[in-house]
Amino acid sequence: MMTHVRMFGRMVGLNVTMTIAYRAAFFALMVSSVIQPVVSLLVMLTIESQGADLPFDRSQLVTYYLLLSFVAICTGCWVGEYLAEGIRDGELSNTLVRPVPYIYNFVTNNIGEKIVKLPLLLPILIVIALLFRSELSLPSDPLRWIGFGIAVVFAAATAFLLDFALGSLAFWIKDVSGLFRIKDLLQGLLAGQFVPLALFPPAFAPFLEVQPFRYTLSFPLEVLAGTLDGAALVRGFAWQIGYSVVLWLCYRVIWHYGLKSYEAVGR
Amino acid sequence: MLMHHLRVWRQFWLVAFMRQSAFRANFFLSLFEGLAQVVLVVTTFAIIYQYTPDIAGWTQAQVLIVVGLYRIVDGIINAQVAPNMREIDKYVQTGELDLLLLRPVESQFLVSTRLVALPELINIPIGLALLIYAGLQANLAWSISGILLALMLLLCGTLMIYAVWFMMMALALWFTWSPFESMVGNLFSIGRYPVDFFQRQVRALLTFIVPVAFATTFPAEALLGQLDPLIIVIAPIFALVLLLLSQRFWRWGLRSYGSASS
Repeated sequence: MMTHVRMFGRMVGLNVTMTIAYRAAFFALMVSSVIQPVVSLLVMLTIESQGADLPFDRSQLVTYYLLLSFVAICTGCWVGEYLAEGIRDGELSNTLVRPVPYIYNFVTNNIGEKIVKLPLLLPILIVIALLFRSELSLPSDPLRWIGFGIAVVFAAATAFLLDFALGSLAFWIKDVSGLFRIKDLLQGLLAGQFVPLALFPPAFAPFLEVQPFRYTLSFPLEVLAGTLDGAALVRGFAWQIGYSVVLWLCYRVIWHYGLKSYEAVGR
Repeated sequence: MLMHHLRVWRQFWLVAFMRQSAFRANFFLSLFEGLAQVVLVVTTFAIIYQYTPDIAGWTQAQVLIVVGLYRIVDGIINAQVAPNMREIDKYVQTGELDLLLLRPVESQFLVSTRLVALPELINIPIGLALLIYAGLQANLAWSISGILLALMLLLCGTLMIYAVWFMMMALALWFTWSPFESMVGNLFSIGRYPVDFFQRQVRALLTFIVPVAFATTFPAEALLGQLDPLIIVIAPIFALVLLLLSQRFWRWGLRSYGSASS
């Protein structure tokens, strides 16, 4: 157990070092990542200033889209297609013989890159916050921030495991890129990336609450914004933790059967 | 000289056709992706327009005209511009640029046209279909002059986007990479919104720095008969200026290019 923890730490460190080597490119990537949320915010502010009766006021809109960039980086995922490629081209064989589970490569890469990305994102967010300072009002209740933090961690886990489970289907499906395109499309819409889920027609609310993408991005923001009552909060956390556990079980089952059917391409 | 370049360009398309007709599945992937993009944007606008009959004077049907135009421009860009722009920094990093510079054609022309992603062209009929549907919804009075004007503006706008993107990527001649590489896609995708949705400074930015307004908003206004006549004069001049500027910039950069090949 201790060996695993130590190796995990080393692998995170390694990934941090590798990412820092490309810090300038990663900074550009962070600037790029805020473009879409800022554009969405500007459009929503225009609609709001026309007197539209939105369920969000101006300061809530600013808070939502500002922190959206932050949560999106915290929960961001790029494992699926790399994993699928590793399974397809036999690179998986090289790492299977290592003394740590294969998933560690991807978890540590994910954490390592985020350790570098978040400090690079921070100054950009501060600049945006200053631009909108007259309309920004972050909640002061520490409990909400703690709830937000927990929700972000589980959101990252849910997003990661969803990606990993889908990518693992490459054991049986040769080309998973179509699958990921569908997933990206659904996630764009159903995670609240463009429009907060609260703006969807009320008839969709029961569906929006149970679908997994809400728990990868929107839910932490809802916790922080304080738009959920006590019962909805408990339900939300239950769904989120439930999705993390179920997706983890999916990963275990897929890998149990997947490795049996895996035929390495020789290298 | 011009004829020679046109013949070379035609060869690039022929080669692309021969190579890519072997991978027919990619065509369906592009078709699916284009349709999915349309579904995403149309749904997003449907949600937003529940709360308001118009945004900055644009009704939902009028906005869908812009979205349709964006799909057409995106198809052209993704087929002919983007594949080449994505390679420019790699030519510099690998030293392949040396070989390209030796060829008997204008080097900017060569690095900008040699790759063509044919399946992306499917976005043009998808955008056209959306445009016609939205036009009918918006009770558009189709006129020959409006269509020709829209076409001219769309062409100018696409050339402007190319010129700006090319200059952004040409920075690789000095730095071996371009900080804009990861940004351009996100920047140009703002073209799916009419620029009137934004505050004045942002609008100026989207007209003259990241000139997406010329490619989508202004052609839509031309179709709707709401175009500021001044734009008709500005568009071709500005496109020409940006193209000449990109040529200057490229030649200036080549002088600092040190070659990385062994």
